[in-house]
Amino acid sequence: MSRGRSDEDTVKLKVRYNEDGVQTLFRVKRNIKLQKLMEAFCKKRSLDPRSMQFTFDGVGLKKNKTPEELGMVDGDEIDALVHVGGA
Amino acid sequence: MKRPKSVECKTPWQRQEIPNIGEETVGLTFDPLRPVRRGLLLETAKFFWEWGQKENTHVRLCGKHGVDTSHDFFIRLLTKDGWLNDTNIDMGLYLLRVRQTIYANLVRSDWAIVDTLFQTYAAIDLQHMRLYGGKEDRTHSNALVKMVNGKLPTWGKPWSSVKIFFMPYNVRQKHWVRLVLDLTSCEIFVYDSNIDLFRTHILVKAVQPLAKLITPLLEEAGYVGDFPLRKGEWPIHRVMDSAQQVGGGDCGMFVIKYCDFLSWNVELGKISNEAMHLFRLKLTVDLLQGCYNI
Repeated sequence: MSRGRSDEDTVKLKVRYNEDGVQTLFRVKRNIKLQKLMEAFCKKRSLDPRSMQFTFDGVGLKKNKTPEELGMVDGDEIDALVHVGGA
Repeated sequence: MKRPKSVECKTPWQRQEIPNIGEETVGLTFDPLRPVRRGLLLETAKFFWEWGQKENTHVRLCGKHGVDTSHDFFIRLLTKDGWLNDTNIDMGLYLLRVRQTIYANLVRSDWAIVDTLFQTYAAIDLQHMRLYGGKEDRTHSNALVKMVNGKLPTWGKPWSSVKIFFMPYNVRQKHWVRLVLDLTSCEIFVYDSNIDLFRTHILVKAVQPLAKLITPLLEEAGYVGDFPLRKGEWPIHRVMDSAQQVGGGDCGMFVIKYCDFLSWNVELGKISNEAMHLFRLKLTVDLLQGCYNI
């Protein structure tokens, strides 16, 4: 019996870093919390998670949501945005 | 080592109906300098003391549409002259939009506010345009179109239904200014709380990409206003007599207060730099309560 993940259980999501426009592709389970994906992206790009916010279609992503709950499909793009401040 | 999971910390006001505007207060004029009740301040102080003892906790502000905030959010907000980031500003403006919707009979209705994501998405959109070879017939970001149509941000209004809209704008990642886009004359006004920081031509150059983007975006979104849209770039004017901060750090608060006061038709001259730390405290209490105390 195969232990690999079937395509039905997973979704391919692109995470686009707004500073350089580079996209990183992730294949994740549909019912996994997006926090895992956010942490994986920050680790891969050596970013501080506290300085980042993630949005999907203009709406801030909540860490405890899953791709399934948000109706995400293959090829959907998440934006990884750096917080900005000012004085 | 695996990081422990953050647990939500409940505020004393969560899931409570706050008697914000009662029968006795309706009809009164808005006093932006009205102090917060002493009892409320004590409750807030107690809450912060208790929350400070708990590690790995967060607070959900303004219910399901709000954000999860850590201690850092309030440290920035409550520190005198502390720099505000986009989340602080977005939450402050969120409260203004809620207030406009709920208390429609008390607040001016001819304006709309977008949050800081508009500028971010506009920048992404412009990157796409460069890739697209600068052609005008490309499609704009879906998120921007939704913002114009009032579907974003939460409690937003369609721009077709208003005359002006306010927008926080970050210049060179170090200074917040407020833009007022006048949809009747198709002009952009820049309210800057620190006019000594940037020369006018630098500020105009920073806002220019937006001035070029706005007409094609409105056309694509199907905007129908009372006045014809200007073809091409919108003129940018710097307002030279807006209230000024003293020292660095309060520009984010000035942006929120500019929007707050204009929405009530309160004189902008009443935005006092000396009162800014008190406005920070008031905003903190309002955010924790999830409503705007008038």
